[in-house]
This record gives sequence, structure tokens and C-alpha cells, in this order.
Amino acid sequence: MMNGHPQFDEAFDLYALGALDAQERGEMESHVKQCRQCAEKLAEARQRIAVVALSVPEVRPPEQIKKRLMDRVHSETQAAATGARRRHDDVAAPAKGTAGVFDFFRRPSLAWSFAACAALLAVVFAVRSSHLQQQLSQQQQQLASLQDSAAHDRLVSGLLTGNDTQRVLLTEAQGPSHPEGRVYYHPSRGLLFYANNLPALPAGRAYELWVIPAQGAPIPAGTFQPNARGEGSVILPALPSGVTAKAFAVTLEPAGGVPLPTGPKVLVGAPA
Amino acid sequence: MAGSIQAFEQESDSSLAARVARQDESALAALYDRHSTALYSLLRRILRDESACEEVLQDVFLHLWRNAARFDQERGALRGWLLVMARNRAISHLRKRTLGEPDDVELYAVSSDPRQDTVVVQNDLVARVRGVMSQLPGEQGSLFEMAYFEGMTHSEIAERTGQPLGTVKTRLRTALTSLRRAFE
Repeated sequence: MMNGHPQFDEAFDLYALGALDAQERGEMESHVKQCRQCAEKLAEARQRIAVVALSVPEVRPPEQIKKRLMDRVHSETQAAATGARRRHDDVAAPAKGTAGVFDFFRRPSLAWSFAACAALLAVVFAVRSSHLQQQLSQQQQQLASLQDSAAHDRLVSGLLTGNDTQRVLLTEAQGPSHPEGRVYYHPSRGLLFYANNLPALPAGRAYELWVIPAQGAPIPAGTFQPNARGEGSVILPALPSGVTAKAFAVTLEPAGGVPLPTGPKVLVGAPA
Repeated sequence: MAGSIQAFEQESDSSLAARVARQDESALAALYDRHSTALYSLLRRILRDESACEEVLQDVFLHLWRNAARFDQERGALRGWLLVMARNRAISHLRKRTLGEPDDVELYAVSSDPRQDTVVVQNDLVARVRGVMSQLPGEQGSLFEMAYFEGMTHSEIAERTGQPLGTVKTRLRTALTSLRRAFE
């Protein structure tokens, strides 16, 4: 590659084809992370390569594959519904003295007490176990990728209780402050985010969380969809390490998320 | 019932994907009916094993079921995403390694080309691609097939065929130049 850009446009097709050897593939991946134009060319190449698949003579799949697929899907749906009912029962009748995490956010004057952190931890762990919950599918993927569950729990715990963790209240960018979010952020340990009172999303849209670094462009920190009660969360998103944050924000974006914010700010907040 | 099936057939992929994101099983069934033949045909070509084909086909649609909320029609065609997933997973299965080409919808996203949205244009495009593939000179065609259907890299193809690495690279690049012309 010359100056990072591939020497030939066919290099994008070769990458999509999977024909590049490891070093060339690594160079391409590094470059497209920084070059939007080349990222677009690569995506176009992926579509070209995909269409080649349609040149294969057609063979209809046996009918029983569809039946087995739909049986599996139906089983997942049933399991998720059962889990959701259990969670609803748990939330509807909390133990005396233990407020839900989202009630916690509704009390602006509440200190960062140990009890509150414990309540948060309980909910975080409950959320982590809710693998079939639709609105947490993104977190589900992130969590599934963490092979060491105990290490993950320690990360969450450390972030919530660490003296050097930044705790930032995010409020509505404009208008009266009804939606609220809380960020727990440490440059090397990661980020936790919870919000409540979020408006329902239009079709095809998602909320996207951003870390605004002291220097440089906003860093995407995950998309999320609020549940029926307007509550949403992002837990330990993939972020570059060592970034000093000067602010955090939530914007309204296309459902798949975007590399840079394009939509209106819903929540913003800066460390004290 | 027939009316509802007809309604699904007229419904766009985007709309069906939105229904799938809301856990509508009938929408997933409609997308399966629409795209499973293309995916299964590709899987049969790569894997040549019935049980492996079923495993990967189910895996692709389960991934769609669990991740449809992340799909945005404005940033790429659903069929393309499904085909990329199917090919990547089939080759991973075949080679017992990842292709090095992620199938995440984010990375696949591209500004949609509305010219590719109609059935007529799609059919025309596929016909042109088939034409290009069938007219590739013998050596170029077989190298391309090793890369496409077996997931082989330049070096692996050179090693298998005994051709110099530079020759393999040139021939594959020339084949891809021909392919790109089908999209112009």
C-alpha cells in the first residue's frame, strides 16, 4: 500500500474475497479504520463479492430445515418470555430497602453510597444474566465475547466502587431534565452507562453513547434501545484504552449505529 | 392465510427485518422463504455436506433473529449481509479457521445503491456476473473459485497450484477487474 491507500482498487475486492495474506489483511484493516473513503470502497467490494454467490446454480433447501429453524426460534422466544416474566416479578416486588437501579437515578441528591453501589451491582449482574432479553441483545454479544465471566464481574465491580472512577450525570441536552443517564468511566477499566425516562425510539433508530475525548473526534461507545419503561444501558463497550474523557453524550442515530454522531443530542454530561 | 403470505411477499426486506427485530416469527419465516434458496445453494457449493449446510443455514438465520435490530436497510442490502455471513461461516467450517473477513453488519454497511433494489435490476446484475464468471479464462476462473469457494489466500493458492505468488496475485486481480465491470 502507498501512503495507506491501496495501490489498486481491486485490493478491496481481494480483501472481501479473503484472498489477502495476513500482513496485507492487517494493513487494510488498519487503514480502513482511519479512512472513511476506503471503508466505503471496502463495503462496496463486499457487496460485489456477495453477488457472486448468486451465480451458483440454485438448490432449494429441504423443507425440514425451515421447520427445525422455526422450532428453535420459537423455543428462544418462549424462554425469553418466561425470563422476562420472572424479571418483571422481581422488579415489581423488590426486597424492602433495595431500590431498583433506575429509581436510583430519579433521586439527584442521593450520595454515591455503598448501598446504592450494591443495588447497582445486583442489577448489573441480573442484566448480565438476561441473555435472551431483546433490548439487551447488543450487550449480550459483548458479554458473550468475554470468556472470563469472573473477570468481567470484577471489572464491573471495580468500576462502580473505584475511587478514581469518574461518575457523570447526563441530562437532556435541551428542555426540562426528564431523561437522565449515569456514566461510570475509567480510562483503562472501561465504562458503564444506565439511563431512564428515555423517549421511545422511532422505527429504525437507536440511541448511541459517545465518549467525547479531550482531543479528537467522539468515540462511539455502543448503541442501545430502551425498554418499555424507558430504561437503557451499555455495559463495558469496546473502547480504546487510556482516553481522557471531557464529556459523554447520547444521540439518536440509525439502528446500526454510526462512526461519528449525526443525530440530535438526547443526553449530555461532563465530569465535575 | 394465502392473503397474508402474499402480503409478506410484497413486503420489503427492510420492513420484514424491522418485524424480526420485534421478534415477529412470521417475518423471519418470510425472510427465510425469500433468501434461503440463494444461501443454501452457496452453502452446498462450498460445503458439499448436507448436515453442515443445515447447521450453517440455521446459524445465519438465528444470527438475523438475534441481531435484526442492528440492520439498517439504508446502509446495505439484507440479502448481501446474509450471503456474506453464509459464506464466511461456511468457509470457517470448511477450513476450521476464520476467513479473516468479519460478517458484522456494521462493517458491511455501505450507502445503498437503489439500482440494486428492484428484482429486474437484481436479475440483470446476477446475469452479468454469471456471464463474467463463465467467461473468465480457465486458469483465472479456477484460481477465483479456490479463493471464493474454498477461502484460500494468495499464498495458499500458490502453494497448491505451484504457480509463483506474483502470478496468482495478478490473475486474481485481473479476474476481479472483470467482475467489477459487471457492476458498472
